[in-house]
Amino acid sequence: MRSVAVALIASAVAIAVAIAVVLSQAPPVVAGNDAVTNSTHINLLAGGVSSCQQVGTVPRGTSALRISVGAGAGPRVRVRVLSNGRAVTHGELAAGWGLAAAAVVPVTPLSRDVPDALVCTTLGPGQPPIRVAGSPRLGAAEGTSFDDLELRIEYLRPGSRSWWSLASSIVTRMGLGRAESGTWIPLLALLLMIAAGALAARSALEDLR
Amino acid sequence: MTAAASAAQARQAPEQEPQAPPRRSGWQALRRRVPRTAWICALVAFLNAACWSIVTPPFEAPDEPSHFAYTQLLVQNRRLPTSITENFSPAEDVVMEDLHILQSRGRVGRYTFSSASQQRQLEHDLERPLPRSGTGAAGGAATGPPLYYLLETIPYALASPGTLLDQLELMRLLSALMGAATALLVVLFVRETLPAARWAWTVGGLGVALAAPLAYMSGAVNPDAMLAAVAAALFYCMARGFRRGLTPRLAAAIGVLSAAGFLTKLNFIGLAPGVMLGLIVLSARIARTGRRSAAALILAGSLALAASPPLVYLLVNALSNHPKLGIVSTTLTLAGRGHPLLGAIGYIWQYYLPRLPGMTDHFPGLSMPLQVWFDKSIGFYGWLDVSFPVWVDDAALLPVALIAILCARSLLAGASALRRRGAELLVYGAMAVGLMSLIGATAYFNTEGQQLGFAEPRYLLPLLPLLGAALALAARGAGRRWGPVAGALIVALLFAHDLFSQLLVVSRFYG
Repeated sequence: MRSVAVALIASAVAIAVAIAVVLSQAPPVVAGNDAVTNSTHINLLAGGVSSCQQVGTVPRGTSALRISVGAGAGPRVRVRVLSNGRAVTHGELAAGWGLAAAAVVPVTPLSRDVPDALVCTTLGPGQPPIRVAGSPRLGAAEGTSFDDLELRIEYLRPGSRSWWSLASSIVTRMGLGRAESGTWIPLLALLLMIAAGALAARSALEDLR
Repeated sequence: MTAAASAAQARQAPEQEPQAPPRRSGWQALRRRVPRTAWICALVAFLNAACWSIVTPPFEAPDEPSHFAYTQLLVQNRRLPTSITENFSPAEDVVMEDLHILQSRGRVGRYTFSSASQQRQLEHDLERPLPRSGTGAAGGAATGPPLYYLLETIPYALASPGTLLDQLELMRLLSALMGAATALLVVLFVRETLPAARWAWTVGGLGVALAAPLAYMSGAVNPDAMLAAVAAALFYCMARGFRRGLTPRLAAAIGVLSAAGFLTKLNFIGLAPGVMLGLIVLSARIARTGRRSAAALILAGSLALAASPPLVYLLVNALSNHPKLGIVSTTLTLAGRGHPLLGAIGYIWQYYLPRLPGMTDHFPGLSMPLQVWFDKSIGFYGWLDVSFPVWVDDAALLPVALIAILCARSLLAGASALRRRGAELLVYGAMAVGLMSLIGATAYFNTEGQQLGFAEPRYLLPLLPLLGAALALAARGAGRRWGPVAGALIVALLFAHDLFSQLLVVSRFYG
């Protein structure tokens, strides 16, 4: 009984610390993009393709690139950012990512702005359909292939505000989009989870002996 | 007697069979027969799913607009859907437009509903007397059987004086009740399969009650919530049959539950062969006691009950000149056309397991067990566009491996008991393999290039009773002294995963 109580208390403390650590971090923000619009969508029947495109300036602090590629279980995505023919940063997203319409590829954070950058994107082998969005280099045409397309790329970097400091706006947003609006909605969710956790802990304390 | 005193008394006599009770009302009898732990697990599961129903924005769960439209058609048009297009009722279409559902679907980082003016527009449109009757379209849900949607007509009708979003929330709460039923039935299943370790039932039950994938689906309008409950009930009935023998009443319950399964979601077809095998094995046990005609009667009655919905479905389709098995006919037709059986087996194998030497590589560059099934089980929420960073999936391998090792240790320690219960395990295995094969075959024969779209952990929710038993076994695997501590840590781990999953969804939609 005592050891179960100690395990539960230690777990509760660990969860609280983990939540505090996560919420003290800043969510990524979009620092810029390559100004490409998603005017054309193509479905690739296989991966194993690559393409490079000029993207203008990639801002300092960029720690991930969000690329307009989606799939049921995405292929491995590798990106390299080059300046004057030299790679200034690179990154990889392992295969299997979800149904999102964009792949977020973490890269080594950039310590400076990179003007006139070239971004090369390589998709590993994958399952169809791999959906790619972007703008055709030579105008819309039948049979547009991966390297005919300029991809929409957004540059993400850590924001300046932590999740804690965003809490009030998050609570407000959680109260919207429903029949009745109000901050009581997220508070109700919080109460429900506290009740579920307390009940589970009590049951574990009583039964696990 | 206080509840705590009752619990203490129950703990002291864990192995006693229920004694003949005095005549009581059905509810009182149910309360008495179901252990308190099971009720608590059900309540935890309900609270958890209710929380998810708030955290997940309206219509941002898989196919929720279609499932809502199906129910709406049943109530407003008094007919089944006739089209798989997404041309819903004007009332639903307007609300979806106000909520920017199509713009945000699949687009991580974009949830455009965030201002008071948008809320005012939404409230204005919710008050408009827009038609709630549809054209007959219910999207992808249209091909599904109607039982879940028929039940959902109750909350839909109860909330009809309110707005469409009130109806949606009440419908979600019915799903949450189904999640609660699943957790309760899992405790009963674990009680039957591991009767000697009462304390471990709690680990299995709470583990399932706090499992994020169950709560996420039970917090949405989706027939997967009901299929999980029906499957959990069937697993429990099977376990009860193997432990206490098949009675006519239990056989009838299995038949009725199977019929309910067929009427809930077509995925039940995958569980059916295992259920049939279980009935045959249990009837054979009765026959071995010399009651052959009784065994035959019980088996025939149960199978007739179970098969009645598909038979009626066949008859209706045959009379109305439609493909006799509906959309299943398409799969069967394709299966007969140029798809070699060995190819299908190799594909289905690789859909879940590593490729064996000599097999064609159907998923180049992708580890299906790890990068698809495992990673998506760790987190795959919203409209299947919300998942944890890869490092979280990798880190999760460690605790899952530890649980698997403890479970294996427990199984090894009970190897002789396992051998004695080989037939029972075979039945559970057949139910699991049947369901997984159905999902794999559906992907294999899919002609629209959406094969990996079927690799969704929610389709495996009917196997949650096996997860509950595995968690209970893992706790037992730590030994009598450390088992309860291991059990407490497993429950805490699942609670933490649930919390962080909800925070992930909050960050996706409201951050």
